[in-house]
Amino acid sequence: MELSPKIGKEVIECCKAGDKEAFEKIVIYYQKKVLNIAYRMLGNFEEAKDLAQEVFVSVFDSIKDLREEIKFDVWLTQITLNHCRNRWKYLKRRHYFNSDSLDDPIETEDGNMPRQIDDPSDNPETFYEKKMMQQFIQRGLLKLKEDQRELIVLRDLQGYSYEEIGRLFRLPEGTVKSKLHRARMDLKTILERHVH
Amino acid sequence: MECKKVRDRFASLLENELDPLEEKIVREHLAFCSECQKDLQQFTKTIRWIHSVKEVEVPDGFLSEIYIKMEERKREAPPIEETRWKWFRHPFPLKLPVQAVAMVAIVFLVLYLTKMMPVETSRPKVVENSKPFVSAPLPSEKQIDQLSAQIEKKKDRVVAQTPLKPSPLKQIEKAKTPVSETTPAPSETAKMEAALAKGEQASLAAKPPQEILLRISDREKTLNQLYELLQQFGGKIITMEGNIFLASLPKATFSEFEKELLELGFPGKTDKMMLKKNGMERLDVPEGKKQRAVEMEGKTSAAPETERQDYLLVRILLLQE
Repeated sequence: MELSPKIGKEVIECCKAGDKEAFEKIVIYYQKKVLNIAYRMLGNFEEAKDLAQEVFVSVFDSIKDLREEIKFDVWLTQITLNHCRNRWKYLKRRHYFNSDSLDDPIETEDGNMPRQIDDPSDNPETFYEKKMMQQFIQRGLLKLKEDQRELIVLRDLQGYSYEEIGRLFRLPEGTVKSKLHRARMDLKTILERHVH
Repeated sequence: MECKKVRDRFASLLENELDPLEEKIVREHLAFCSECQKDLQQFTKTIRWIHSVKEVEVPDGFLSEIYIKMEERKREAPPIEETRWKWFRHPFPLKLPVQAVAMVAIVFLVLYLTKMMPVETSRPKVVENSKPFVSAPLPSEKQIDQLSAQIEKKKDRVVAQTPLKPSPLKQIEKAKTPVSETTPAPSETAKMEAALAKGEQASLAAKPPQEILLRISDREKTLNQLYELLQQFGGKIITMEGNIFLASLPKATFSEFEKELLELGFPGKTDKMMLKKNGMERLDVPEGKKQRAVEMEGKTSAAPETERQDYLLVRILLLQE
């Protein structure tokens, strides 16, 4: 995951110097990634949006302390994951996730609809089926342990390489692979329980 | 290959990361193990589900809301407050050592103070304890009896000690000898009573005598010098039994007298012992004198000098070496 030509070293340096234009370039380039990591980690769009914005505020405040040898992408992902961990703890303390079950009715823009999970991979054509499928997997993700969820989000949803994940978590590649395998198997078990 | 090992390789198999030989073994296993086949299908399905998850789009106004948040943060934390409450915002691992050091300092301070307090408070207690002894003397008759008994006791011991380093056995034997053999007690008491009857020092008996131990080489010469000194300082010999002298001396001249007297003894060997003993105190063996003297000095210094007598009783013990 190298820097795009649009976000080169000079943009980072300008942002370090307090240049708002450079900061905006960074936000525009990375906002979708940060928002999606946050959304998959927390399972709530509003919380994820708020968190992603907080991440960029933190970036603006502390980018001057960013050392040259650390890649901006890795640093930004670390900030995002740290924010997610803190927010997760905060929401958990307030029993935010307690009533959240895979069998709960699915929230849609048109109100709640009863959950009828059949194997969605067979024919996930209709809008509701697609929506249902997305939320079903999201809730399955939330049932995983936090570190397992991070691995699946980064590798399977964001496409990080094993090497990048290893650098982020300071783990050898082999360990990352085995942990990821464990996480996928656990997710499989969770989802299987709710598929008729 | 075991089922578990095969299942552990599902992810690598799907991502084509197995080496050809390993892949062949896994596929061979899957060909005849229906359980693993089923598990692989489910695993593949799960991976497909995860990959089917769509990314959410960034809503409009995302960037402008970031700036609003920045402004809010600036307003929420003005610089003055930032510095005032800076300590409370430090991370716990940083605060902990500082707090620990402060706690240790407080504990040491408390220990130091509590250790100091008893020293300060004990002094008045000593004074209080000693007051009854000083301010409420015993009736004179009783005290005279006690004094004479004390003199007798001490005489016994001094007589036993006077020979040059006698063997412990001899000491015990001598100590056991009857008092009347060396010093008849009634005669001394009679002399004391006579001296008191003269009205020289009515209050002498109310006060324990001062004791001075003098190591001498020439007895006759020292005795002459002692008489001269007593005359010089206005004192008198009351009784004289062997090497024990009981003398009365004006209180004002006692310190000078004592100084002069100590110079008569062996230079450097004279025990600078000035004991203010009560009636129950007894003379120790020479080896224990210094320690005893220190103890007694401590006691006497703690007790305030409340006596107002003009004369002091001084017991002078001569030790010939």
